[in-house]
Amino acid sequence: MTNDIPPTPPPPPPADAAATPFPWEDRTRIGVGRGFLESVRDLLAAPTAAFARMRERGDYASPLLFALIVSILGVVISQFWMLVLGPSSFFLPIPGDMREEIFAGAALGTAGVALQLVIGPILALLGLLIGTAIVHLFLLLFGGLKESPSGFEGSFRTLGYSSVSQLAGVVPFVGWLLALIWGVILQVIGLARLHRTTPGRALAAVVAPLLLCCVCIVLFAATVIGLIAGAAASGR
Amino acid sequence: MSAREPDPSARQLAALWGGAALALLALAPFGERLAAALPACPLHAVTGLPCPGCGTTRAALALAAGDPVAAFAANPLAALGWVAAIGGGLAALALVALRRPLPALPGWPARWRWPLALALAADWAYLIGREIATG
Repeated sequence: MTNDIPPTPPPPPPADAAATPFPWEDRTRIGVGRGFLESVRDLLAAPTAAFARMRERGDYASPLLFALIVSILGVVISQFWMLVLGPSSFFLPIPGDMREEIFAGAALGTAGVALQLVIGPILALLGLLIGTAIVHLFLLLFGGLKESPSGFEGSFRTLGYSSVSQLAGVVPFVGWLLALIWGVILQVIGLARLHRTTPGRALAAVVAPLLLCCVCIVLFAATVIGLIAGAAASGR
Repeated sequence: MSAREPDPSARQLAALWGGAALALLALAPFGERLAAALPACPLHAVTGLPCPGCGTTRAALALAAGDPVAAFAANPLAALGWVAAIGGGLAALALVALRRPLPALPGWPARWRWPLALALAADWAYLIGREIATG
């Protein structure tokens, strides 16, 4: 078998980050609130430009602080929907008993929400570090670190800022799915840019652990394909 | 591995790693309650087979309870990872606190790829085999 497909060229070098810095990394000048909101806007509307404007190294604090704020907002949003709509606020294409098993511990109640708001930032820090380590490991496995100028910090910055996708939870029922898709897109763009690797390698590093550890994606895809196939068959 | 004065990123990462290790140790007494709030593994719920990460939480809880044998039985690679994460984090924090130069860690040589992949595969095979054996 020959490999005739030319590799996707790595993304171009970043724009002059100092000229138009990423808003969150310019928060001391423009203010924390404005920096956060403009960063969320940029990561939603123009993620490639947003990652091109951010620093590559020397600042673990900015993505960490950003991720901690997002995690607190994410807890508030998800628990709001959980309290209002219950586990049905998460649309999952699986039988009800499996849904109950998966979400058995998810509804925390008022005291649980308060506790989660207290320890949430600690868990977010741990989750960010562990998640970064996993993605970085898979990047190594897929050869995505050969030209990396930013090393572990590049992965940390990408995952920290990509956590903004949790805010998609404001959409009930399918918010988790939107967050998943948005998060994957952001991570692929960020990893490709900060590690000077191809989007294909970045995608493999992001999706492989998801596929290995979250078969729900596969099930969802299978369900969608099945529905489409079923609709096509019945339409014949 | 040579000792040298690291760039600011390395010192920040060391402090962050150390803080995370301390956080893990501080949360250890509450591990059982925190674990109860975690969603179950979707792969296990659907197929009955473990995913490569299954047993990671149990390994952490066993280590917190001072039972390394049970931790390694739950998931050998995860148990090793927890030990490395906490031990390395405490060592990094100590070096930062003592203002000692951080060691220059080796990079990620390409020759590590296949051993890492094999380790992941072997660990997952062990988990599946144990699940089948124990029913």
